[in-house]
Amino acid sequence: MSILSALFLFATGAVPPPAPPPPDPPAILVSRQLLASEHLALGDVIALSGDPKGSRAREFRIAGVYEPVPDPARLGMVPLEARLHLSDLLALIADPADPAASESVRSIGVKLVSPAEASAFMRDLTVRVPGLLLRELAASDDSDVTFVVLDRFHLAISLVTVIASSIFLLALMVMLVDERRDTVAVLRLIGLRRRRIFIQVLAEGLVIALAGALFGVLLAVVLEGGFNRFFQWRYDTALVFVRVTPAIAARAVSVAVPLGILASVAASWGLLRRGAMALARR
Amino acid sequence: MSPPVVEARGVTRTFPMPAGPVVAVRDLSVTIATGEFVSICGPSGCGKSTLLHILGCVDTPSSGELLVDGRDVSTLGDAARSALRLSKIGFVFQRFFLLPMLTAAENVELPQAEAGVSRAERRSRTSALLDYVGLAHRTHHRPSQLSGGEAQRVAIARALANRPRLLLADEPTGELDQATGQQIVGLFERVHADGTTVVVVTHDPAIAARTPRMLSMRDGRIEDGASR
Amino acid sequence: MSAKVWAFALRSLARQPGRAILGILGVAAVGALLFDMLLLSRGLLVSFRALLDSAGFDVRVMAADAPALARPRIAEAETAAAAIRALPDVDEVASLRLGNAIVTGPDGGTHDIFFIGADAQTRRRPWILLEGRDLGASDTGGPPPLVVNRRLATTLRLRPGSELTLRGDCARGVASAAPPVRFRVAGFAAFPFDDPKAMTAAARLADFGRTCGLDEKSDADLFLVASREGRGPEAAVRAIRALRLDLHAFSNEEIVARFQQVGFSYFRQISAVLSTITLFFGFLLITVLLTVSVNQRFAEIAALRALGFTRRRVVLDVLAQAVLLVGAGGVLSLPLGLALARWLESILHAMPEIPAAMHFFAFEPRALATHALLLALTAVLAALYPMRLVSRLPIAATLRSEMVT
Repeated sequence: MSILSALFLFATGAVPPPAPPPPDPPAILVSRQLLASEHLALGDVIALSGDPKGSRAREFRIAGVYEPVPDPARLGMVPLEARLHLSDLLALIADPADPAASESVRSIGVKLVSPAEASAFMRDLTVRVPGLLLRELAASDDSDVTFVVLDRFHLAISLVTVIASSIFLLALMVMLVDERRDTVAVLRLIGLRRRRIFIQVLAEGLVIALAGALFGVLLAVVLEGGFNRFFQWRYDTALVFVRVTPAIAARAVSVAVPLGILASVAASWGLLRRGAMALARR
Repeated sequence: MSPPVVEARGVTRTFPMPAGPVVAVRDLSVTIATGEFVSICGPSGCGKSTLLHILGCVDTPSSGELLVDGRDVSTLGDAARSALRLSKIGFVFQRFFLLPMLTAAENVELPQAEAGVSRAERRSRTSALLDYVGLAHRTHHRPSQLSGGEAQRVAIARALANRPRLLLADEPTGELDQATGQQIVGLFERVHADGTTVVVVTHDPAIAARTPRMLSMRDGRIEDGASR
Repeated sequence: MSAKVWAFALRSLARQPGRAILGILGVAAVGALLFDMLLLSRGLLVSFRALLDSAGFDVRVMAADAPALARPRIAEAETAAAAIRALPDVDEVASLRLGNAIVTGPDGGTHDIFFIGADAQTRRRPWILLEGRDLGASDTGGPPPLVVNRRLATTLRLRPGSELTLRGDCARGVASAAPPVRFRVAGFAAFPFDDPKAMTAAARLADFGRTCGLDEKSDADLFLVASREGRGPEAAVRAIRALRLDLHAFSNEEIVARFQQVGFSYFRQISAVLSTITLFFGFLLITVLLTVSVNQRFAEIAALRALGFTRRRVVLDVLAQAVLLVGAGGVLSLPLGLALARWLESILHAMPEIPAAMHFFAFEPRALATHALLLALTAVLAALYPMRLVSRLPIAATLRSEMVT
């Protein structure tokens, strides 16, 4: 989160530029959401203040609109943000009674040429500028952790749905096989071997599983757009919620096909083990 | 002559088919008197099963009247017809249609339970019926553990469970060998002798010959309704 | 439905035990997921409400209706707190200041901790004392008192009576130039909003101000207000709003309602989507099972109708089968769902900044009632098509076709 978001932005709405025209107000960028919520437009002059009473408000001209970087941890919160030049921000929030205030910032970000030498850099800086608080930012921040956790959560949910689907598939195959009991009995009676029927069951299971998996992937691709559009509309965000990649499609097919085959075999196992006469007798 | 149990007056039954309507029963009138033992015979497709279904109130004639115990049942609703079948008509089917998950006794108890007979009375009546059909030793057997003849005996016991006035049987020996079939006909004779009106549909002339009255059908009509 | 209908339906299901067991297991799996999604849809709200209520304060007062990070402080806090305290609807007011501090561990490493400055005069405290003594209102000599959470105590190997030095990092936008302050650990406390990794310490307002180099009487981040018994938080909120138009007072109820709108609504959305999918899945499973079963039993059903079973009776049999399958699966889904919820909770709790006492899956009776209602509805809907097949079954035509086949 930038220093800008720490500022309480007090948008008082569009105000007509004073006459005679003073020097042009400084330029700022506003988030798309702020532009929409306050009914602003590019080129509008707005007043911003550092405190809720609106004291010491200053005017700025909207020079551009930006889409805030989507943050899943802040999903649902409308990012009403503005980006100012640092000097404008300091002039807006600094205490006029404190001459040093306009020189103060909360933090300074440093990008090292050699990130591996961060510890040595920090030791060196502590000696050179006593009183500074130095922290090394980890490679991953909280947003990454949130993504990883959500990923694990979705994986766990998909595991449960795979279990439920397997049961459904098995139930379907059991019914299918039961329906074919008479046919299997006749085939056995006319001399077909168990192995031959087993291969046929296996082939049927493969075809059903493959067709089902491909249909599932196709359905996911079709639903992908609708799902994303709904949630992007619901949360007013540019986050992409669902993305069916070839790798995910391949993973889905690679799970579904063996499960389908296994379900076919499991369902027909009892039927294949019985003798032809036992099958023919109801 | 005894009063009629069931009477069909000018009954016609037409089935709509893609190639045009098929008339299964054509302007047919027949009266089954109380205490009769009647067989309906004829070649396949002559309409004998359709007539039996109409007499048994499971099918509705396209035209004509059907009277059960002197009451016109053509206009009765489904619930009333069901109640009528439950209390007054017993059915025996070619393929028995015993419920496989129930024992012989439970199959016989089923219509009684549906009619609201008390548990004690059901037990006693079921025991008596299974004894009557010669299956007292098979009470707790499931249909899959019974022979065809035994299963049909259970089906007859079930049909008699609510003391019906009319017992209808549709090809009751069709699934059985000749000897067993003869035993089943013998059982029907005994049921008739004990006071129940029996109508049997059969294509077997030997069985028809054992009934006092035979209705011979062809093309949806009764050709001969001789009593012997 | 009478007992004989249930008994008959049970026998009908038992006829094909493999099929029935698969149906029950399928419903149990989707029912467990449905139950979890219902718990998830309100879990955060329920536990958030419990956290808000845990300290006994039922109103929160802020300077602005803005997120914590961007919120200005309440100016002239002592005067404002005194005015609010004097309201007849208010029982107690606690001023809070929030910030960060840095401590040095026994290994020489530094640790960022969450640092709270709290009014030591109040009876209620925004934490629960676990061991040792609480912050006293008066000085007893020596370093000022501090209460710390267990994690901080464990990390720094602290005991009640231990001393530690804090360096304030509290002012937003202004670097703290205050010298480090030595504190004495008075006791250990549980802070409701701590996440599992949080290290938290609380000091008196004056000591907090000294550590952060701030005027102790100037600002407050937050007032925690307890309404007077019998008056209720709504009355207190109204009174505070009338007293100070520039302050923003919210009852716990209102905060929860706001949280419901924005906070973690993704989980509510995902739970709604998954609940719909699981219900559809359960519906499909039961419909297919019953339809196939009914199709295979057409002749038998026609025979039962010929024997005098009414249409209503055979239709009820199908409905009873659906209810039995879904009912048994639904009952089984509850322990499964609770076990699954524990697993999913452990996954989701790895999210940053989630208070340890907050739960994504919180049990409440209404979730159970909704679960039962939705499953019952699924059972009825799933049975509709096979029930329609049975109700429209022509007896004579079915018996005839059975003879032909």
